[in-house]
Amino acid sequence: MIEVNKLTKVYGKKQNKFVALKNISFNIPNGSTVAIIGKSGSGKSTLMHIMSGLDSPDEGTVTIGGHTLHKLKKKAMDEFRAKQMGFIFQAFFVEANQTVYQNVSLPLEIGGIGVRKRDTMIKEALERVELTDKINSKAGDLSGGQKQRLAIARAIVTKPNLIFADEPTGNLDSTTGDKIIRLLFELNKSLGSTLIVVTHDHELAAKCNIIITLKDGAIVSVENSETPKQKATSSVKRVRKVKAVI
Amino acid sequence: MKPRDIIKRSGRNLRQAKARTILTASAIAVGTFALTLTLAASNGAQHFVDNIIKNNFDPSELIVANDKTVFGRADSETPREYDPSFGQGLSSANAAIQFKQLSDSDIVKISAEPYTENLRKGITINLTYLTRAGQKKYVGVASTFNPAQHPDLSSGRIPSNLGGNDILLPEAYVEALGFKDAKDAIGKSITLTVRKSFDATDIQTALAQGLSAESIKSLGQTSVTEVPFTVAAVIKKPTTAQPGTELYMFISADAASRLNDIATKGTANYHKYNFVYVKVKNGNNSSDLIAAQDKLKAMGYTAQSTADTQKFLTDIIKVLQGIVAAFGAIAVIASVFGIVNTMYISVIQRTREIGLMKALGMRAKDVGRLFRFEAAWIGFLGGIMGSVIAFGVGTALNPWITTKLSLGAGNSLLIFQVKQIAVLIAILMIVAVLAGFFPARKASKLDPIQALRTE
Repeated sequence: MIEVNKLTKVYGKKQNKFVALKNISFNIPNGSTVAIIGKSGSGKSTLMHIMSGLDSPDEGTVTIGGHTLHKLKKKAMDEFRAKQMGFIFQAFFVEANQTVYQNVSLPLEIGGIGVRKRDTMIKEALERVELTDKINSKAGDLSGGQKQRLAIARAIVTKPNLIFADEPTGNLDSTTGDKIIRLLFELNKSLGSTLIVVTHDHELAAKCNIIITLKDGAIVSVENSETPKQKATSSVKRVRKVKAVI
Repeated sequence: MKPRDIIKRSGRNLRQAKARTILTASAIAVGTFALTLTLAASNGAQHFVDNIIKNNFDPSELIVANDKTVFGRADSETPREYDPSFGQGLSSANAAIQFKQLSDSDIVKISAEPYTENLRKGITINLTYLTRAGQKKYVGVASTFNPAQHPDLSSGRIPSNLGGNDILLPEAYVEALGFKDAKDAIGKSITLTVRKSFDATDIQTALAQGLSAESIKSLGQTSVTEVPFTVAAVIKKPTTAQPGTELYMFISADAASRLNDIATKGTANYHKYNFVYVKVKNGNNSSDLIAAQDKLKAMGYTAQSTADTQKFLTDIIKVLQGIVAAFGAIAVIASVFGIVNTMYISVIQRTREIGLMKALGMRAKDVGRLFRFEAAWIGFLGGIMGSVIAFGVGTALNPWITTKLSLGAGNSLLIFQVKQIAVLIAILMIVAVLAGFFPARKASKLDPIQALRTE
């Protein structure tokens, strides 16, 4: 379970003060697919950064599996991220001069996994994204879709509980984008990990169990397709409460 | 992240920027080249000095004088009072110097010391000339043979006790004195001639005995004395002799005393010696040698050990090498700026990669390590490049240098030692890591969110 409780994030001071997130709260059950949507500047990325422990809130907490992220020490936070989280970015962020194998190896190296075990895990991840035939190719030689599949393999290789995908189809054509979406959802089912997607793409968002819509740093709505009434109501109630406070 | 993975990854990163890596490493290589050659020259010079010492000195002996001026440590700034009983000579700058010599009573005193095993007078005689029947006359110097000397022989052999008329003749005189070859010279006679000094006591005796004016006049004129010697061995052109002694011929201590007496009788130098060799009992034990040295110093003498002589020679070489090493060190220091620059550029170029690694949970400490290892790799590469080139160039030039400097067979100016080069490379790696410290710190402190947003 991911519990986001009264998150507030403010950038700048005095006249330059900018409130990126205002008292955000919601819960995400394990194994869910979550879309965080909203216009540019709505606070989607800030929310993702705080939920992944890359950034810290000014107020509020994020609790994942009982661990309150921002109470963890730096070392424990890094370890938690290395073992529990995977990341997929719009710009892929693959190391172009290194091979597919070496790219996928990175999170395992960071996690201190031994060479033999690492080899098995890399091959398994590449098989899942159907990139086994490119194992020794330079990442820079891959197409956009292949690069994103490589990024997905890198994100899932540690078998994390939580995968963050920031505009995963933003740099892809619609056909390739569809394939990547299908792949992400298949992996969510087969691996059982929670998938949190930050996107502008409503079509992609519609495929998620939970859709969190942000506007100007506040939650506009939380829709839950599996248990819509119960969860959405409670969330919306919370949102209304937040709005009242603001 | 495991150190092995960091090392591998850092090596891989450098391979991806080959040209930049090689250029940066080349700057270190220049310094390494100079330092490797300096070390090799240092080894060669040390080896050469060691050989000189080994072949000319007995480490259990002390060279004892009555005046530190003998060892070139004259006070050249304070006027020195003239003493007619002192020996006279010239300093290295050709300035007139005086020094107190050792007398027979000094020799008796030192010989009686409990640590003295034996004592040998250091006699060097400037001959008027040496010659052989029917041959030209040549100038030369005869010196007491030191049993610690191990000259290479062209022919003959050195008797265990050099006889009263035996002489060890330098190879250069063989042809000059009309011998067919070195073998031909063995057992043949040559004549050493010394000029008898003007002896005032002879005239005083003659006057007392009432000799004629003509006879007394003849006493006032100096005469030469010819002493025959038999060639026992011909010594090869020495490669490890004390510099300037290449044409010295060697005779027994008795013969040297005899010639010296002829040359100095009636002068202030008669039975006076600039220095003597004192063989110390159990002198190979440095504490016994130092104890004897201290005692001699306490008695007012100046005593120099083989180690002192070696140090004196080595110190001169070290100063010269220090100058060359300084240039190498300057080159290395200059290369440090190259490393700093390269590493900063690398951090800037790889900002997003750093952001990604941090997002994936890589610790700031490991990010810093990754860049420090990259710097270490550059240091390693530069060190290998420089030392390998220095080794190649040195090995190729060694025979030419050996010939040019007349170092002789078996001696090389450049002696490379793998251990030394390994230590040098290790030091360069440390220097490179220090150079990469600030760029590595910058990398480790990068905010992953900002880094991931970098275009």
